[in-house]
Amino acid sequence: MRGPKHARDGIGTACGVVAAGVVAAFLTVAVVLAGQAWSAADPGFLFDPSSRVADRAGIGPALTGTIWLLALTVALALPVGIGTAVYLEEYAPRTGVAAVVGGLVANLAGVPSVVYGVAGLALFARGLGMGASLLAGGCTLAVLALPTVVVTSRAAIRAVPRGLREAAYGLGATRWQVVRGQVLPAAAPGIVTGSCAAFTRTAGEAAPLLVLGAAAFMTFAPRTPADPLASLPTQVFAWSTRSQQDFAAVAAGAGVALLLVLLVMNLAARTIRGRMQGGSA
Amino acid sequence: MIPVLAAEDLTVRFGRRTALAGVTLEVPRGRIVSVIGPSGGGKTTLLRAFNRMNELKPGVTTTGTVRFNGVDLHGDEVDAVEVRRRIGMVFQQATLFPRSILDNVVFGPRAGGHTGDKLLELAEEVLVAVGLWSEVGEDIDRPAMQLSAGQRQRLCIARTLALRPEVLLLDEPTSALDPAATARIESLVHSLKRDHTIVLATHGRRQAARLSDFTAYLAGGELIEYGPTESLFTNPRDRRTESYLTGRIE
Amino acid sequence: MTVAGISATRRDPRRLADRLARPVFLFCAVLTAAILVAVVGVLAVETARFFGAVSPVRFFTEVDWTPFAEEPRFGVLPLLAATAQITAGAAFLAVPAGLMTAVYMEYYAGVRTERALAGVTTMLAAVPTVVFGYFALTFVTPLLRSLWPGIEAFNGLSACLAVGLMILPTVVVLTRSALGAVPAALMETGLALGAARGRVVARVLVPAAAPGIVAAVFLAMARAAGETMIATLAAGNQAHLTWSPLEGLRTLTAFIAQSSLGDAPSGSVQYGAFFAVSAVLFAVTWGLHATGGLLMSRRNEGGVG
Repeated sequence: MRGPKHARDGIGTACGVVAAGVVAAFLTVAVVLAGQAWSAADPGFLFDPSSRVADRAGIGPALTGTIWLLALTVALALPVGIGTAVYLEEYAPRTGVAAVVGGLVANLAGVPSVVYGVAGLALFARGLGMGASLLAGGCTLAVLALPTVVVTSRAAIRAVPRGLREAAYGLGATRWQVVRGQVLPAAAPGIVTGSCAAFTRTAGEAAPLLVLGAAAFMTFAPRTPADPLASLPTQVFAWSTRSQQDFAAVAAGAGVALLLVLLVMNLAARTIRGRMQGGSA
Repeated sequence: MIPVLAAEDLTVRFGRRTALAGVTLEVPRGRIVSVIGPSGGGKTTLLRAFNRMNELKPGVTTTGTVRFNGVDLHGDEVDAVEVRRRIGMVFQQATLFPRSILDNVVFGPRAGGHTGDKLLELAEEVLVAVGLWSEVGEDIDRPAMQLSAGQRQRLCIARTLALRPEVLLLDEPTSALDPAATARIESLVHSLKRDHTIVLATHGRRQAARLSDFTAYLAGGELIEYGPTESLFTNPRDRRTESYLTGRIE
Repeated sequence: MTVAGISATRRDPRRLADRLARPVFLFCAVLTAAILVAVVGVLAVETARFFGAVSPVRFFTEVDWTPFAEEPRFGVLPLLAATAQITAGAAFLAVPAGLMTAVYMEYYAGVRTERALAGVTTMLAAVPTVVFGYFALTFVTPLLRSLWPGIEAFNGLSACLAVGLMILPTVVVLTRSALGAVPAALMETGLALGAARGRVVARVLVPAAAPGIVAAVFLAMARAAGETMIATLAAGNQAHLTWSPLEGLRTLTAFIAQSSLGDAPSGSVQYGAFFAVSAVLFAVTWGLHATGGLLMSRRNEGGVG
């Protein structure tokens, strides 16, 4: 209960003006981006390879690369992250090593992405010999997403009512049956929401991929994870650094395409979550 | 004759807090034993010790022994999951699985690997036993969450009965219910005595007097007094029991 | 015959699943721990090797950062100062704006306005930082230069504005959760005593939520300090000490992202420099993040009001 909110006074007015300013700032970003991107919009833009001439430049390889990276990140980070969260919440003792690991994971969620890029370069690109490939990028982004997936999954699992677990244990369910039958279904919507936020963030990351050596200029769309690392965020970056006005337009176009990819992903996650909740009612 | 359940010098600690201190008590076959006492006195912990539910909480240590038909519940050969199937428990809060009535009733047998039409017969049988069969109009595919509070608790009892347990542990099953629903549960508990040994933790002194053959008074984790219900209520040997029964301790 | 029917039936398939589940989950947890230890470990090892070649004292005291010069100098102070400036500048903008927006959403806005503002906040949070960087470089900087002709093409001010906008959602969301934890009864009590709404907000509610708000500031600053793409695109790559927000700056993050690290040969002192700078950045953001987390958990334990 917050009571009636319509009452106005000096502080309320000031806060309202600031809030309006925030909205205005957001709209400015949107309008600038959309306005620039408009002039880049043509059917070929989505599929054409990159080019030294802005007019002919497209985001084909970058778009394919981002979809590859997203798929790799989800495939690598989601199972391991959820498994870790289940272990820490349902199996591990509350004290000792598990508690320390849990605490470290929470703080690693705050480490900047570019640092993960440096670690990914040493571990994956050079250490495991993956080079500047999509696979190296996917592994690095998965490591970047992992702490967030673990932290949000743990929170979702912890929010499952105790009584639900106890009722199942009391009826002779094994721990695995409790986890699979009660805990995971009840926690699933929260896990999907949290993980989706994590993957939205990693899919928009340019910094770690730049560190790995993402290609700014690619003439063919990647077909396997071993192909060179291309992505929309690094493409936006590469075109933004060109001083010609024409490239500002294609950079904005790539940025809008990136936002659309993120939007589609979030809508998909929302659909999945809706199905889950509909199914369990 | 071997008692169905026997606790011997049973001590349970949660971290540094002692919830149960050296309790020794026997539950005879086919009887109702009620456990009374103030909140936090150890009633729930004692019940949960009988089917090894305590060990699910972090930081718990149990010493002493609990025997079920003479077998040490913490013995090497013994499996906690099987213990919980033989010694069924109904909790204070009626937590239903967010599924159909049928799914709730046959949860235990299914978890034990049973499938097929026999489950439907079993479901009907236990729903009749708790008086829900006619009330839900035999429509057992509807969501369990639609039931009233009293019906929920009876469904919880039904799904425990579906395990065909030897012992029923009832942890304050009526504490959240109105008088009418409470009366129904009480008559149900009375009828279940025929096939089960029952341990009933309760806040209600009158409920204990009405239902049980034996009564244990637990306070501060200690077993203060244990004996036939009638003599404990009419002629308590310990002054603390007397104070509790006359309402001077809550 | 089993022991009183309570011994484990070992051939039961559900037992097999139950026994397999634990090691599988444990494996995931060990893998997570191992990966994160490897991340921290590789930073530590390479940083230690770097400090074998370059004295840590000089690293932290010298003011010249010219790693690729013929006689390379590795004084991290200009990078550190630039990061501090961008972080402070962004917080200076985002903290009051975020706090006031949160207050408006919690205590003044109608349901629809509140929802619209929450939607804008969510969308703002989802914008990739490289897009903010693009916005800073192609819109904010030209705008600033038309207002202020003396400003450089790459400058700290533009980056501060964009980073501030980027961390704003963090401030708003966390501040709202801190304000939401303040008992609603406090507002009612205040109003019942005849105080004006704004007075109750400013004198009672915001102070009651202060620990949570401070935590929000630390967590937002951790994000600002680690922000890479805006700093790289808008603030430039001149590593020099300056107080002026109108000149170009090079942050810790911009150095890492922009110097095409992919080309530096493994084991070279330049390669090591990336790890040393990463380690400094790691320490700074870890400190900010851990402080914020600590304040947050203390708030949750102690309750508010």
